[in-house]
Amino acid sequence: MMLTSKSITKESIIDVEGIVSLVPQKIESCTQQDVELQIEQVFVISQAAPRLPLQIDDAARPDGDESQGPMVNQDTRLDNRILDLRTSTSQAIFRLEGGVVQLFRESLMKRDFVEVHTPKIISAASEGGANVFEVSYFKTSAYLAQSPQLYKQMAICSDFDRVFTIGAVFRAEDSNTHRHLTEFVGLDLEMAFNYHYHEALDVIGSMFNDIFRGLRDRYQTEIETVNKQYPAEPFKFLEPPLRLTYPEAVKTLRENGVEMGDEEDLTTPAEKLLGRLVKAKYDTDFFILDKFPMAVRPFYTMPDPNDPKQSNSYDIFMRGEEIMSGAQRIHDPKLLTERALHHEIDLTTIQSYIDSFKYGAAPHAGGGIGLERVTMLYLGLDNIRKVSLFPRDPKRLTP
Amino acid sequence: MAPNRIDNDVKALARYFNLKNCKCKFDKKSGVTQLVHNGQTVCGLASIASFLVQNSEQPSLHGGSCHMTKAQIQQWLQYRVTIVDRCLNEKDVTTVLKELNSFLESRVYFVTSSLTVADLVLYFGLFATFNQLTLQEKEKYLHLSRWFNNVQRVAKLEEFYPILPFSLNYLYEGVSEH
Repeated sequence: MMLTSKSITKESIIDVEGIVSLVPQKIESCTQQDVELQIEQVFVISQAAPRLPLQIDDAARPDGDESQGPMVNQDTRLDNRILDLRTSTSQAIFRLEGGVVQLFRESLMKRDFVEVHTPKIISAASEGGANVFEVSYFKTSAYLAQSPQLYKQMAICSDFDRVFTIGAVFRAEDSNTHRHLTEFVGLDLEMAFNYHYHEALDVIGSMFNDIFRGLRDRYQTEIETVNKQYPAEPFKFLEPPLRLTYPEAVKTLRENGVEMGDEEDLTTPAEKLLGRLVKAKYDTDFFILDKFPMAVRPFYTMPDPNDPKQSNSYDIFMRGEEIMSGAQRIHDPKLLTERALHHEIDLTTIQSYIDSFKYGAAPHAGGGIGLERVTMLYLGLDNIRKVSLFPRDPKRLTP
Repeated sequence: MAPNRIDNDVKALARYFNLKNCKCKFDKKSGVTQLVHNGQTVCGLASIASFLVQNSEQPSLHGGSCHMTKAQIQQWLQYRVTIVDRCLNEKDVTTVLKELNSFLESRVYFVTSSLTVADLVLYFGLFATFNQLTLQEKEKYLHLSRWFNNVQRVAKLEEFYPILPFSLNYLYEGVSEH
């Protein structure tokens, strides 16, 4: 039997019958170190092909450990994703990612949110911000939704008060970066509030803290497994979440040599530097930046009633990278039309959007996050493709 | 290095030492910067620096009476002219920064423990490079940055060389280059 077992190819699925027995010495190379199986019978259920495109051991090796054997580069991993996903690191990453979704749901459901599902095939490129994929739709064409924004808001106008939705988001941007995908999972929420949009911002902040706390408490094993291959500093956050205002951030950046105007948007290097400065000062990897200038926000953002140059909008950062851009939305059709004209948007393309607020709409605010980006930044990974099961980017459509 | 850069350095030095009646010009024929004071002409940055110090009211800046210190200052002036100003590409600059950084690991100033003209001249020479560095790179050359921040504040030559920002906290501990 020894001879036949040796000829079973690596990664084959086998059934084993044997006797569990104690061992005199711990078996270092296994997870079960105190016992072993004295095998009586082996059955091969599914034989693997003899030549594997990549070795699981190589794929699980930490960076920089070349002495132990070769590394597998990202393209090879993604081309043979099934094998790459078998490493314990990948298994841990996706279990943790599932946990993020579960914690998101739990956190919002206990705050009386209703889960809804919005359509992904839409008739018009709604936001006009990101680019959209066009698909043929019987005799005409349609588009793949680049965010559930419009439908979240319509749900609020349908008296659902607090909604969240988890679904695919499609962005046709030819971005070839470490943190963009063309298809990703969006976790979006929207809620009506009574007096001030900070009611919504408080809920969003608590939701994030629930997620981080839950990951820290329930997924410690997974985090450690990932850190074995991809070491990173543990994720730090404050209770309640840190909240800074945009003017404060601009002041801090200027003190550290960044030249920027009061109403200018933050560049990516400025965001990263701000992340480091906040980390040094407050010891947190997570913070909310409130009160963005109106000039850099989309047309549907509600202006600040006390200062028309500021808006009731906010961005949220993890490890110096933006994960959510949210705001109070304009719920008054007249003001919305005004702002759209100011931004030189063709009203015919958004008429149905404006009309949805015609029959009574509560003031509301919300935001959306990308599941993959949050997971990637929580674990301190360097590439979003590591946290997407079968990633889609401008150059990759398979597997 | 562009001739008008050395020009700037000489003007800054002259300002620092408060020397009256001196004019700075660039002699195209010989290709060196010259300082003219009371009829005397001095050529070349290193010589000009020594000349200015000798004729100033701050003798300690040229090492006082200690010959060893004077010699060290001269060596650093030469270093500035021959090595710092002659860096051709990024790699050379990085080598210089690394070398100076390790030299300053246990020293407050380049020579002795007070400001000398060597510090000033090296500060002028490194200004252009430091202007381009990110905060993360400045943190990499920690000792050199500490020295640079010190000298730029003590020298008070802001109209020639504006104050550059340095962070007094460790911002990039545990972060790999991005």
